Amino acid sequence: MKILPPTLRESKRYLAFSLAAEDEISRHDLIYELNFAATALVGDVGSSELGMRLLGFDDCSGIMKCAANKVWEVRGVMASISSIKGLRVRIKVLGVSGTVRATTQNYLLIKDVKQVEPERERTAELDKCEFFIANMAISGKIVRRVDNEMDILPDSPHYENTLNNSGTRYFGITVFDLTYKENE
Amino acid sequence: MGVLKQSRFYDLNIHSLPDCADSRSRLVLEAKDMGYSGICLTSFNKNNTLHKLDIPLPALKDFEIYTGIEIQVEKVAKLTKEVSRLRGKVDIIIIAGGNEDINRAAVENGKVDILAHPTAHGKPLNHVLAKAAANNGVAVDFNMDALIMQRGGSRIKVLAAMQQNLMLARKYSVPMVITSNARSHYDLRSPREMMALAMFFGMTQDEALHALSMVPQGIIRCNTDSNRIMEGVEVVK
Repeated sequence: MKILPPTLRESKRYLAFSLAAEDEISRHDLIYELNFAATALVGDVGSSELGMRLLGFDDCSGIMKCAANKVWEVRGVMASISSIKGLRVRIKVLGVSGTVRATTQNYLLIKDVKQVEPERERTAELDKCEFFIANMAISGKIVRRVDNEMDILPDSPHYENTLNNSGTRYFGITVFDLTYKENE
Repeated sequence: MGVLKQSRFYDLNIHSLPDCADSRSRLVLEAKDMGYSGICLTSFNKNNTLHKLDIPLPALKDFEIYTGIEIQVEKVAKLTKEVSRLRGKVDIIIIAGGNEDINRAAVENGKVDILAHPTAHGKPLNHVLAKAAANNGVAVDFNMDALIMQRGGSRIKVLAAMQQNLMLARKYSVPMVITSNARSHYDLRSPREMMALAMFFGMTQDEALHALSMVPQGIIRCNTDSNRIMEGVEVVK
């Protein structure tokens, strides 16, 4: 079968995005949720016009292809996703380009993209942490740490109400909140 | 896109620990990362307790942090009382709307800055409230967490109500703000995503930009400028 000549093809844009989630999200689940969100927001007819297609995706960033005149709608669809399979997520569009190469070079390969700390000296004490905010004293386990930001799983169910209030399972804090500073 | 790049964006309703799950420093870092120029951290609890906390952060360049409170009340009389009690203590006063009586009391009180989620019960404002809001300079909030967190019937109701609010706000030139009403950093969205969501209920790009930068800047200037004495009275040097 002949493919369409480039002049007849619909023009498209590529969106680089980053994904912050409570746990790892598989490509399959993300695609399912994106389609679900698009159908919920703009319907079947609308989502057929968006031309959304997930290209590359690894656990914290990826590239989304879409129709050139629908970039704002696609942004909206991606922003309307709040959770995938019960895990809270947040998708942030890093930038839009006309080619995959430009998207990758300008938005995905720059050093600013936060990386999960690869090797951290994990000892029993370093895993644990505690902090005081207002009249709350929370101690817990560090589940994840990216740069200065960390997620804490509290030891006791005492503050469960606060977590339910936000719909998350971890407390999000930074190293600056800790009472005990690591290696300092 | 030049205008978008130069604009300074503000999110005026973000909740932090101890009311919600994320610490202030975390939210500040995430918001700065998203491209905001400033945020307002609002206390949000049943007793309307104000939490004024130091944020243990190294100095941030070019980022403004304000404190505020989202007042939750059930009775109109209590609203007036709480507003006058808290007015001098915080930068920004927000009223949690939804209930028709509370919406009305909030827009008729000139000391209130923002009426947050007036569509929470799925009902839009009417022309009387819109006129009052315009006269008293109370900004009407379009809360994006309703579009992010809800699905199906409830979201349809909120979208419909927001469309009518938008129509009224245009007609009576009521100030509009877009806030995230975030309870954790997963609820934060970058300014452009907020604009994209706002465009789903009929806002134009310019209006959305205005609601994310100019109007919040105006509210902040009103409340933090020491030269300003009251509506229409200012110390001029």
